[in-house]
Amino acid sequence: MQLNLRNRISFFYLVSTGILFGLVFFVIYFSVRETVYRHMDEDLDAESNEIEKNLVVINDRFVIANAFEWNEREHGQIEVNPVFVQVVDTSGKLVKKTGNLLNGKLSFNPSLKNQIYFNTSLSGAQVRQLQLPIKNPVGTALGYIIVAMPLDESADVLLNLLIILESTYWMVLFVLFYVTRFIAGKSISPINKVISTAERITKENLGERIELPAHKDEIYKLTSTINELLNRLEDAVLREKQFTSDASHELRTPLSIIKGTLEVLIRKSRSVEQYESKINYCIREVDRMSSIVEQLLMLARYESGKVVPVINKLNLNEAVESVLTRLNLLLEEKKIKVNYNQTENISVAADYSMLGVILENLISNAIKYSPEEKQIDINVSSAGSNVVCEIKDYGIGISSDQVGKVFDRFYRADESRNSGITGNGLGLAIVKKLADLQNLTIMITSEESKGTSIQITFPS
Amino acid sequence: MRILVVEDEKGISNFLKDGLEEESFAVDVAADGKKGLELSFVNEYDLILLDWMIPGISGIEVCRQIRKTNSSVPIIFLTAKDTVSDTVFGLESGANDYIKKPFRFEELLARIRVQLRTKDGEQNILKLANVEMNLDTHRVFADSKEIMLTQKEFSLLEFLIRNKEKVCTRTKIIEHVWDMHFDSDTSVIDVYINFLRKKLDDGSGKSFIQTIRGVGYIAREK
Repeated sequence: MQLNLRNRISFFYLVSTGILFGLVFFVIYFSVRETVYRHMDEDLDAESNEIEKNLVVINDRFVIANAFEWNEREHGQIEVNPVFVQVVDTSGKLVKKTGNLLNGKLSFNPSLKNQIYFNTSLSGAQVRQLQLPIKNPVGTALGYIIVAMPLDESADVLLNLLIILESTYWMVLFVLFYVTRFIAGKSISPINKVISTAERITKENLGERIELPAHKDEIYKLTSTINELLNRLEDAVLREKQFTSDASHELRTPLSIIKGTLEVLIRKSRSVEQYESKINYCIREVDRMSSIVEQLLMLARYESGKVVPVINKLNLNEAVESVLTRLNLLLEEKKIKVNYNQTENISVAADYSMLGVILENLISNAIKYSPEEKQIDINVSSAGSNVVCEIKDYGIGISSDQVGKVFDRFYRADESRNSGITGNGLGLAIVKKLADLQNLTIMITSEESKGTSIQITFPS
Repeated sequence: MRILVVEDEKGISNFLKDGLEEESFAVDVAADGKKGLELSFVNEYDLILLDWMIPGISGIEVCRQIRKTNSSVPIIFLTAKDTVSDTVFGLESGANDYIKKPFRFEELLARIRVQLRTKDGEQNILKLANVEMNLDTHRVFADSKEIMLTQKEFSLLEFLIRNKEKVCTRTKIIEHVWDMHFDSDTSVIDVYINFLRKKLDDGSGKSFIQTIRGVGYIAREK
């Protein structure tokens, strides 16, 4: 059976209090019963003692010495607190009985050899009975004294008690069920509020938050946890939105340029030179677009987790040298000198091609944002068990409030945007992604118009 | 008609300038919001093409600032943003129209004409005296005979007819027909007025473009 939380709480509460109440009532009933029986048993004892005193045991026989006792009022009548006494021999043959027994006979159980109290009936009425063996000095039973008292009154009391306890028990449970249901409902109502607010929140109104309850209880904690989750989700969605918007902007701009330029170009006939210059211009824009698409695809591939880096021990110097050779043309064009401070035979654990992409992006950035005839420092050093590769330029730098964002996709710091240097803001995003894949740490420090330093730390 | 283009992408502002100038507009280009605002305050433009995402002051902010000065110059947003909320946001900030990149140049031209028309409550065909000019096809007729005009002549004629029965000062003519790279020698206006008078001469010996000595010119029904 599928119960909702509210009913489940009341059900469990009900079962546990039911068991507890049952136990308490059980103890009450049985202790009362015990007390009642003990009192009766004491009376029976007293009576049997009297009888025993009047018995004289001689060898294997006993005789009743004083008959006077037998004629007491309580033994003669049956109306008020009668006490029935009967003496039997070991075979159960009647020796003597009180007058109030009339034709009745108290039941005798020869198998019970010791003193014993039990409930039985006498002529249809309930009695409490004591059966006491009469013993000679060596301990042989010669006969039995049987004393009985009516049980009706006590049984009535016990029955009443039982009825009251039982009816109270069910009533208490019944009331308790509704009370707990009410309390449980009340105490989980904040959860319902949380549910209804949470249900309302979709991708469109992710900014909405669940109102925090006044008391700092579990509900408060649940609510604030959900709110924090929403914060993280909103952040991710916003970042995704920003990315889509940036990507569409970056792709639409060259498209707009190509489309507009060509449309204006064919509005009328022009000279061959004009056609050539405009078409070449458009080709450059197409190149720019394809490089964005290429880099976006690369980023998507790395982010999908389908590309697994192949980590090998490789020579960092060789990697840097080969990137420098590839960038030689760019360096010569801007007459930039590379001050490469290498340390012999430093090996690092990295993916060869990924490391190449990282170094090429970082060094070409350094070249791109350096003025002509400046220098770039590349330092490789080992700090403790880690190897650090630093690439430092003396170019335009990045202002401190933007330096943290340069790894975001499509982000370009104002300095870079305003510099007239082309770029699409994807290079460093790729670098970051590749570094994360290989567990490399990238640190960037920069000062506006002083230059930028990037440190790659390789784990040992 | 003089247009200000506020656009940071050189590629876009280049073809806009080329294309619009071929359509007889005078075009100034600002590469960022600050420069755009400056130019819009200094010069009197008939229309502003404003990119949304520009460095410095954003396009939206530029638009608001311009509107704050009570200027009613038509503003068309050029942008790569294309959601409905962006459109609404753009229009609420005071823009008159909105065109999404990449756009067709012809569509942009049509939208520019719509804005200029609604500004003056005119059609795309301007008429005065014996002259009729179609702004869409760029053709001019005098007494139903087609007259070939250069771009500058066309835009000067358009400006005069748009402001018919009003005196157009030399400064105003320079401001609306020539762009900011024009050196302040206003005698070039007289040269173009003469060209126009000759080409549109109806033989009556009296042109509908009249000289207001020491002030400028006026176009009026004869």
